[in-house]
Amino acid sequence: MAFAKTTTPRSTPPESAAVVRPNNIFITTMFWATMGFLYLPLAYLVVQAFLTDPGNIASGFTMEWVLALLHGDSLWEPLMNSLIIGVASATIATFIGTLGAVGFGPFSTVLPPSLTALIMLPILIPEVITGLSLLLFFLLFRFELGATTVVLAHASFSASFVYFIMIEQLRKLDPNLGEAAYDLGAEPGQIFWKVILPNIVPGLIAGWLLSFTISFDDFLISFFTSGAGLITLPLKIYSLMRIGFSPELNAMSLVMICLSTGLVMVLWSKEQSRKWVISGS
Amino acid sequence: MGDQRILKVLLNGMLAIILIGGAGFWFARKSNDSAQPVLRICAWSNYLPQNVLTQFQKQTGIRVELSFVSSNEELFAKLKAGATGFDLIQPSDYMSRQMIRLGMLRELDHGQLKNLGNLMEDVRSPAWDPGLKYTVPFSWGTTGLVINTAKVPLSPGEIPGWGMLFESPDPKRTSLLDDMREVFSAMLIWKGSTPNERNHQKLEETLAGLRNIRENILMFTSEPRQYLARSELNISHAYSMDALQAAEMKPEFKYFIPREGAVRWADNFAIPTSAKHVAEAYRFLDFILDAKVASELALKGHFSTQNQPAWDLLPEAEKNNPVLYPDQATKARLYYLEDLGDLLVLMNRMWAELKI
Amino acid sequence: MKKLVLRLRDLPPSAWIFFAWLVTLSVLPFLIILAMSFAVRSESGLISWTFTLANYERAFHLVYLKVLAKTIFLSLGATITCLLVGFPVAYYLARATPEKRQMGLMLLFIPFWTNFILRIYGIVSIFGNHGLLNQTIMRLGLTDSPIEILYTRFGIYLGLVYNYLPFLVVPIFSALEKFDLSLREAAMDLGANRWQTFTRVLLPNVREGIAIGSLFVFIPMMGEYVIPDILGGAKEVFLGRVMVEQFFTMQDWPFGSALASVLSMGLMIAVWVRMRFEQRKAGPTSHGLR
Repeated sequence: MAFAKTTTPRSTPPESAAVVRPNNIFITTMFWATMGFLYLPLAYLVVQAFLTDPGNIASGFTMEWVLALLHGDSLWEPLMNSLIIGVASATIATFIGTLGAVGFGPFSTVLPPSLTALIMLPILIPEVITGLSLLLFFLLFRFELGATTVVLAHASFSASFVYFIMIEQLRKLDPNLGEAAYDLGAEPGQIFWKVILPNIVPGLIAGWLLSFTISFDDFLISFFTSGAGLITLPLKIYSLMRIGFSPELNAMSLVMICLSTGLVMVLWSKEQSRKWVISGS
Repeated sequence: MGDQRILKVLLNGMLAIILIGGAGFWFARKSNDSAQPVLRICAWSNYLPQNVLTQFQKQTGIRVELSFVSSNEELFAKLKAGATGFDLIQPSDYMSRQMIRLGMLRELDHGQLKNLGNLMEDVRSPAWDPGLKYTVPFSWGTTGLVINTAKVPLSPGEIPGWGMLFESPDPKRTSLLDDMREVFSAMLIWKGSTPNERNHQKLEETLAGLRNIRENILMFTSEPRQYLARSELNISHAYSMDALQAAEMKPEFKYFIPREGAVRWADNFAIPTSAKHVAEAYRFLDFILDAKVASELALKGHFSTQNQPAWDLLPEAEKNNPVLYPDQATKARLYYLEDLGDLLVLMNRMWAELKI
Repeated sequence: MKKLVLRLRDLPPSAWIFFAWLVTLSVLPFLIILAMSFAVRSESGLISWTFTLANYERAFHLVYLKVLAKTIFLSLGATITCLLVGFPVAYYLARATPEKRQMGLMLLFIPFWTNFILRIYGIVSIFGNHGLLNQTIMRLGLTDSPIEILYTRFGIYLGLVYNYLPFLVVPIFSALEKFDLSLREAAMDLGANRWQTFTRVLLPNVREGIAIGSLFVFIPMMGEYVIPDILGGAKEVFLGRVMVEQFFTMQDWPFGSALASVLSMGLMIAVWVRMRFEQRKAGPTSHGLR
């Protein structure tokens, strides 16, 4: 599932923030209790990876399982697959999404809402349905399920994220830039290469990183579109989980959590992608 | 202006990377195909251990790429929808029949399978493929009960029945398979019917019986091993292969063919019509029909072999294992699942109704 | 100055490339599902393209209506819980100082950008029969046998709340952020009590944003497949699971497609409601495609 922002949050707090009284104890407690609820399972996954006996919290700690995982080969193939698919799909999505934003950008204020909704569709549709429909699409058009189909599937919805990031980026640099160039008679191609491109590199980077993170974290879409042969890191974790809870699974979860959290931190540090970090998978 | 040129290069570079990468990827796969002989097998997990594949590669120079499916239906959907690239597949009994009927399997040239004669007499002409024109029987097993005997004591020599599931002594540690046909079959057999019952009245009664116990049991799962290992489950409806693999880890787990009878399944190897490496597929088929290989696979995989000389090579304990090689009386109470045709729509609805 | 209007012939090729991409990989697959929902399951293949409404008739059979009712019941319960928990969280963020707000938002997002499967596994590790919670209470001697949290209806509910909470906090936060919180202070200074302020001043101003946010959480919940499977022990029927089963085990693609289409319709309605809402807010300055 994915959720797009419903509105554009203001980057600065409202003027009136100063007058607002601080939060009362109930609200503050609720906030921190919720955070605790959200973080406890993840924090425990980290701890669990180091337990000598994973089923027993009091059994003491060891590096054994993590080291065994790093030295073995069950981690590396899925990890490499995830990285390759992430890079490929992020690159395609950035390219396509940017093309769209540049093309529609000058008209972004006058786009009919139905078209905006269409562009948002891949973000809004529940992942199960996206996965199923893409699976049927690939099967019907005789695609061989594997890395290619997973890359296309990931890129298909990442492109919409990139589009919105880039639209925002374009709008921010100067709302009238494209329009002005257009009024001055510049060709669409010229608008793109000479006027717009130089100003959008931060957006490109943010969009790429966001797409990469979406792809790297994705489970359901990969599950449906990967066919039998390809296994990504989340798919590997899922299949291990179905066979049984093992130290190997715990260690792999640790690796995944570290990579995943690292990626979000990087994304968070990029202003352009921050407000889009609202979608998960 | 220098900035802009760099950016132009950057974006063009990105396009180039996509194109070159895509082309490279494609060529890599192409050249991979021709450089070293490969064989793409789609099998169930746990059947083909890596060392056997390595042995095959040493003998023949053919590298095996193994992939897994989790159900016959998934395999069928993939093949039917045009997934190519599998050279050898492993459909079960009823799925073999369906695939043969739909012309999805390549007719076998028995001349290329010199070890085919190793197969036991009684599998030379199974119901789903008379004369073995399309499939090579590989293994069979049953769907029965796995019980943690340390937690659920049984009197010596007792063979439990399906009542263990449906009137479980420990319902909160009991699971049923998450499989429509298997669950209905178990209840039908317990009620004295057969798994291929087509009478609506009987099926409705079965549903009612299942609905009564649904709330009591812990869960439906097709992967009970993890829960058994942690004593979250003590009685499970399970496939014999999974159950015996669990029993290998902990001797207190015992697998039983319930005394009322059970579902019998068989897994076969077959070459789909879309196979690209047919010669390699034949080599592999002949390889696993070899007595030594087949007996090693049967021993490690905990299934019943269909291979006579392989059976001869098995240790006595294995040969005398009544759940792997049951006597004739027990065998007579084992049923293969048949295709129910239009009845599936009704059963499908009942399956949903069961869990409401 | 020329008035800016969108004319199709002015759209540069790059826009068309993006549009084609969108149509091919989002719209077309969707249409395939829709088309397949009117097709017939064939025994000699997967589908035969004969027009029928039978799949929808089946989908509206009493049994599947009960499935729908049960799914709605569970998803609605989870959505309401998300609202009750999410509102104070969003409220805290909306009133926090800018620095605290940034930190709070980041805290909120990290768990939800970690992989979905990991989150599920985290839940199992904590609430499972041998999870941290049961280990702790059994060690403390509070109970002899583990408390059964997973493999029940409650397990599904817990999983839904855990996974969807932030997706609801964010829209509530946006709605609250747009609302001038000093109005609330003003109301209270004018003598309104807390409850009056909340129901008469705050809620009317944010309720539409919240309602739409809830809809966008509620509908994907109904399509959940993994949560009912792993956290619910597959014991409860759930629309998403029934739907996916049609594709992977029942070999009934047309019926699965019909269920998927019904779910998608719900989503389309949600999108439409939101568009109407935003249009109304924006005033009558709608611009059409000429």
